Amino acid sequence: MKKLITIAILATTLAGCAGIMDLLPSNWDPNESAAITDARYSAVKADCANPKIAEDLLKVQQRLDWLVLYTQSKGSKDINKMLTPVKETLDPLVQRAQQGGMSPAYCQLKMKIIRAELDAVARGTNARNMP
Amino acid sequence: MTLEQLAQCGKPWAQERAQVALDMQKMFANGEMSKDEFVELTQDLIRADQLNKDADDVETKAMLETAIKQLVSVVGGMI
Repeated sequence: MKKLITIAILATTLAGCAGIMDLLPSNWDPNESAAITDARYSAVKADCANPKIAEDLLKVQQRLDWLVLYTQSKGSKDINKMLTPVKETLDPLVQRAQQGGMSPAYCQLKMKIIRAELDAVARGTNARNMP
Repeated sequence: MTLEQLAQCGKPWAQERAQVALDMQKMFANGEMSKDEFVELTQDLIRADQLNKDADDVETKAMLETAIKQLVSVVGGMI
């Protein structure tokens, strides 16, 4: 009974605050954590000196695409929002790698930025609380 | 504050980004990358800044959630 009263009081109080749900992050999810770790691993392994770098980058891209769809269907809006800029950074690199002709300097700096972005997404993904 | 000063400012995320910007500047000046590659990297650096803020935001919200749950537990114990 005490718990019910507590919940009722808090529900009434919190319902009065506009957009209170927006203040709460989505819940931690093992599939999201695994996917972002996979993407980071593939990004760390991708070597600009490797002639087959396009294949390595495709692995990162596919894992991120999977994560975008998963977070959309699960409703992890905060994580989904963070994936958009990473895709915007990664996709042109994949395209250039597939077409050939990108400069080694561009590839190296691009990979530094992508790895840092993936680190940030992983930080956010794993900071969340268990459901 | 210049990029050189930022690269020594003591904040790892700022130092790292400033160093990438300095490398970009140097490599572009040496003709090691095209203009469109340089422009694209500049836009990437700006986006990366927002991304770090979003990650910080999720961390802060998670701490807030924990604090609210603790509050619920304290209030529950008082009733």
